[in-house]
Amino acid sequence: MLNNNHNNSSCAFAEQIVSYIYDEVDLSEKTEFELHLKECLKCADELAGLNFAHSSIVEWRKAEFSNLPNFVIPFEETTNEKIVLSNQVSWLNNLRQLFTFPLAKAAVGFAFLIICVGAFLTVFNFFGNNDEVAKNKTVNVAVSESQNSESKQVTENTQTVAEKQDSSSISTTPNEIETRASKTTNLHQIAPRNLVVKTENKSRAVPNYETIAKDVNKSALNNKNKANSEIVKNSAVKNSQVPKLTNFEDEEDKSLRLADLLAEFDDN
Amino acid sequence: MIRQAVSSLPDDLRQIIVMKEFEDMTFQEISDTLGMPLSTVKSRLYTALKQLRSKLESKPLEIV
Repeated sequence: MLNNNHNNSSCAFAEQIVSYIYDEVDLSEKTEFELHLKECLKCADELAGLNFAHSSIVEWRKAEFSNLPNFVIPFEETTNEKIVLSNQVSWLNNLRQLFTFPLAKAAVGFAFLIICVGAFLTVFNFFGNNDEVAKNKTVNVAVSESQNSESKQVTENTQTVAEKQDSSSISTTPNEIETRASKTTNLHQIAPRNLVVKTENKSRAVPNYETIAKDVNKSALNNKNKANSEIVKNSAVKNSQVPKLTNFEDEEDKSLRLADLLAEFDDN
Repeated sequence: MIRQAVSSLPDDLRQIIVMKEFEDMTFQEISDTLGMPLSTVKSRLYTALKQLRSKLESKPLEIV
């Protein structure tokens, strides 16, 4: 007969009966509880009644739910493996990341390169212009020096030319002077001023006055030598002050002076 | 008969019986899941089994 009066159980091992039924006790507790069951009839009766209820539930579960198909939820374990593999840092991934340039980094690098090239060109042009300016200065100095030397040469040439002209005018005979004067009178009307300079220098002594030709020639030569010397000095001074490449203006000045002298001589 | 006995239990006791008998959970897992002490889980299961025993033993007696 089953005893229904199990509610009055007051044993200290009452809670251990459940653990013993479901086998969730330590070995020491299990042995201790088994020793207690031999001595305590109430606990043994409780264990029998609770074990009956447990066994009836297990039988009902097997009868009702064992035939049901097991519902298996598909679980993708490979996803976890992939995640683990993706988290792993290998030298190959590092190498790929090293050679994969994102667009932002590439744009920044390109802009930096352009800035560097622009700065280099500006600096190069700055120093290049300075060198050109220095070269131009040296060239100008050389040109001015060459112009001074040329002007000195021109003055020397003018002096030599004047001397030659003097000597030629002195060595000319009155007949030659007459012929030259006849030529120069015609050339004086036609030829330009520069050409007139030479002819007038030579036709200083007009041959129309044969009697006084020699005296006139001498006085004219003296005057001309003085004038030439003055002209040469003035031209030398001018050339020393302002360098000139040609003696064109010197001859022009000379022609003016000589023309004035000839006009004075004609008046006399 | 056992179905009727289990369904007649209170909700808190039936919940413990289902988790222990059908879900095969340990006492510690039940206490962690329900957020209650381990001793409470054991006492409730003890109470549920005693009520089932009484219900299962009372019906045959009633029949008899």
